[in-house]
Amino acid sequence: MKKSISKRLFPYVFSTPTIILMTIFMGFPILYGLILGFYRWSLADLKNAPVFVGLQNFNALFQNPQFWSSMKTTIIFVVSVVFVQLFLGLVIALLLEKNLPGIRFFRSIFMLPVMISPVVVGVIWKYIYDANFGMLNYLLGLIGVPPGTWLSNEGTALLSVIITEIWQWTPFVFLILLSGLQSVPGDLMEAAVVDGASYFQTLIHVKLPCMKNIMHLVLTLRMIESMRSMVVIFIMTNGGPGISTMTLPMAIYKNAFVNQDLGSASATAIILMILLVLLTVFVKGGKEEDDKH
Amino acid sequence: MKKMHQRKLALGLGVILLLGSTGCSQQEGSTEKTQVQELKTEKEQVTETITADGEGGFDWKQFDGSTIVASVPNNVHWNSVKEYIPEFTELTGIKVELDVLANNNLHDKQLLEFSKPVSDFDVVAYIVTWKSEYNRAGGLEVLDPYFEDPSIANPEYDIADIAPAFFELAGKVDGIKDYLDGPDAKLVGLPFGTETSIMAYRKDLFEKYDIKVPETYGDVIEAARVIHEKEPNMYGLSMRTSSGADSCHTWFTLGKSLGAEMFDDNWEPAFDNEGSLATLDFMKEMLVYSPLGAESFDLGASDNAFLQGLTAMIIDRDKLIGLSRDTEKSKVADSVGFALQPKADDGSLETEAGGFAVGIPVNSQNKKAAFLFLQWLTSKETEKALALKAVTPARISTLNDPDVLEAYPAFEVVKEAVSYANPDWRPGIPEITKIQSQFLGVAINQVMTGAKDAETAMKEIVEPVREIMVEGGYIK
Amino acid sequence: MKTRSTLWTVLRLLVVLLIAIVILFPVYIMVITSFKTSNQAFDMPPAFFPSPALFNYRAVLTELNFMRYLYNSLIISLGTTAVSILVCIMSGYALARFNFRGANILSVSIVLIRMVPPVVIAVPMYILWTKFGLTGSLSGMILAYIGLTIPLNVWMLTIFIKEIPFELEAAAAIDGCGYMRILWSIVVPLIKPGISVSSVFTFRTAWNEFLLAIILSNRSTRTLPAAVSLMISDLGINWGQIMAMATIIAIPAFIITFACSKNLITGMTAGAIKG
Repeated sequence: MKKSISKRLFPYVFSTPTIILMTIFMGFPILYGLILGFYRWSLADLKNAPVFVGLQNFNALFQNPQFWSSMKTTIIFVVSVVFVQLFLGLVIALLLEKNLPGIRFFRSIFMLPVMISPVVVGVIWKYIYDANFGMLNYLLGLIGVPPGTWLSNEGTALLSVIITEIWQWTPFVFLILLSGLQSVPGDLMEAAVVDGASYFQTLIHVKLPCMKNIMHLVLTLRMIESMRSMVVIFIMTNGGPGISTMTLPMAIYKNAFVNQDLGSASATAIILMILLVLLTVFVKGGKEEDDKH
Repeated sequence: MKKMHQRKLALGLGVILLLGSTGCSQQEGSTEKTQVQELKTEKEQVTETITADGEGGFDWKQFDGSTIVASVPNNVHWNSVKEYIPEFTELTGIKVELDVLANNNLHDKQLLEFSKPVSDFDVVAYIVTWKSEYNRAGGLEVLDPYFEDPSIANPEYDIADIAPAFFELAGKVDGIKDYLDGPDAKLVGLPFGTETSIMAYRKDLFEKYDIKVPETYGDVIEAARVIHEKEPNMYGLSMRTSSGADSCHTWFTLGKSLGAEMFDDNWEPAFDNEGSLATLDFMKEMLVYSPLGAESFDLGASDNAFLQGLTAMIIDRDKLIGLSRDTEKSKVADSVGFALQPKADDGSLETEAGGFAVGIPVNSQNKKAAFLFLQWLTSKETEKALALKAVTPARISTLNDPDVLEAYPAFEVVKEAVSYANPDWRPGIPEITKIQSQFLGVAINQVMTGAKDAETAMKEIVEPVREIMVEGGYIK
Repeated sequence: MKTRSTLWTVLRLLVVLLIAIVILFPVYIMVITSFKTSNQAFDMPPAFFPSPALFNYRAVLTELNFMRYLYNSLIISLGTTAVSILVCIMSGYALARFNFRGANILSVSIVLIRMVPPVVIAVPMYILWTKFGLTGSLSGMILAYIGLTIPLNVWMLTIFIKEIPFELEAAAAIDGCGYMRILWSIVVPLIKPGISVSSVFTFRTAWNEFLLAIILSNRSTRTLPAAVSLMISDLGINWGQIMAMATIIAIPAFIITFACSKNLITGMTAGAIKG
């Protein structure tokens, strides 16, 4: 009897601190922030109460060509970034799968970019991309490639920002995928070799299926994070040139703090979250049963 | 009997004397020490004149012991005045803490503080375009009564000495427009960090190719062409062109003389008027002689191009005078000449009226102490000290001071430029940040990068901006 | 055959070297620029091996309230990590090993919360924090960051806990051990790599966070990343100083990375497999 009660109570007791902290310090602000999507309120007007406007903010957004442009930019950004990171990460992992001397040292180096503050990453790359005084154009010049406009031109700005994001996260993705590769059961591999399978056949039929969970994990993780990414773009281009790097999170920031339109910012955030939820559900595979008390 | 009377009289007189002498001081927010009038009179400063009346005299030390907090940007004016603040503290006994933030964050933080019951800040430094927005939010304290109060108004302040354009720009609200002077206007701020526009050019190159200092826009194009063609790795005019406030700044600086206007007299958007299109044409033509990436130069890149010796000319704010002489940042320190920016072909010229001002939040707890600080900050003495470090002043006397002009002859140019400065240079309505950041700034940049042509880009933003003006009640 | 395999190894080593260079190059640029004046930062061709000059560091360390910012960042990051991890171990265990009503709601809300961009909650947080009197206080920042990091930590720790063979705990339960003891004596020691990973990531989030740091702090509680924005003045960016500041901010990240690298990577491996 005693055991049964304590067994029932235990999870609740142990989850309580988390629930309380999360609800008060995240839950309320989030709810508040999202509900504002149905109101009109401004930073300059905080003393007065927000005004309820129903779906007006959403209406205004859908009719605003800049909003759709942000959507497009965000999707291009997220898809490119996630796809390239996964692909590159996988290729490099496959390349370096077998034990290399000194690989452990290199592993620490691969962790570095993720550990650097996004503010710092933005500052460094802004300097590197400078059209006239930046390292990148200088190095390109050394090998005879004409200098690029990088952050100054609508055509190249989004690409530049994508490259930076890829630089920061691919090493990390590689590390996780490598671990996944190295934990493919050895006997499965042997069996495949014995059966005379080629490299690519083993790859597609043995390795990748075993990594399904990991790939899914990394995909979801990166998708969510790159959808929220704002600081790097903020530092490097502030959404420009034009609005070519104005992703949805940047648009939210601009709406809230520059346009003094908290309602529109929150409405955009709601749409962003719906998008994320849809994507996550779409990507989700099956889940195995877990052991429980 | 008589003795009792006398005693009562003496007592009565004594009481009156005591009351009379403690009535002068008004302690607001001074939480540290309680002041006794006798102690204070002993500490009276010799340098400031005190009225002989005894009652209601101006006293620098009346808020001795208080601490005030100023919300300020990281700019030349505040960085230069930092070293003099201890002098202020010695003069008044008021400690000053500076809360430094970058411009964007400064604005947001200040707005958020206005909404609190008690503000963290006692002084706010703001870009003049935020003035109206702050006023509407009821954030800034009206200063007129402060100047009329002899106990806290420094009799030596000489408010008329401040250049009228800057004075109106920095602090007048609710006049003929939200942000200008007029019959019902109030004063909410004082200029500190105001700026106007001038032209800087490479004397050495102009001499080398025998080019005269440009006086018209055509001259500028010609000079750019000659230098770019003849001098290796050299370009024409540095401009700010990046999306947002930066490109708008250049459009205003170059365009006002040509007739470019954001709105006509009825607040209807006028982006597609002749002057605006002429300005954009000029900018596009200058891009031909501009370095790589010039179609999206922000403030830093535009400055840098000139300071690092890549461009031969720049038309921008007067801070360039000090900046170009800074050997850590400028490679052209010895070869820079300054002149008035070019005039339009019909002779019209309008220079920038912009920059920073200082005010006091309504919800501050140390307003009068803060007011003393503001007066000291914008006083003749402080301004002169700063001007001698190439920090541009707002007072006419400073701009005429022989010591200053000897140290920086370029200030003659500034003096002239100030006379052409128009407080209505840029509409100071609260909506301007949004209009610049989301519409005008974006459109100008798109014209520069070639994404759109000038006429289309300008016409496209007329409607959305018009909607904003209707919503704001400017257009009925 | 042997030469082929050696060739292949050398080739792969080269690839690793190449990638390492690409990764480290921007970091290298950050450090060498911190030794330069603004003028030198724009020299063309750029100096790749400047002599280490520390004037920018001196400027950053003395002119600003640097020690204060460093102190704030340390306290906030350490405090956040300690509390967040502790709390999440507990609820992670509950979610991993128990079926209870509300478990699903908890899991789902955790995932949802992770999707919210911080910029959305910035202003609401400011308003709420002002009401609670938490703005301008270190504990206010810690509480905000705890809220921010709980979702990821619960998710990760739950996974790590599920990774452990259940038999150990089942045996202990049958022997009459209370769940508390099982958690702290059996489970926790076994998920050390997992705790490592979560701690490092929590510390990283708190240490590097920018937006909320600016909004919720005042001049006495400001953190290092917020201070970076101070390098941007009306005269443009002081590149030398900003890089010096950036290097200083990045140092703890580097130290932690190298110190914990073995643990970290084991942890990520383990978590990734079962995840």
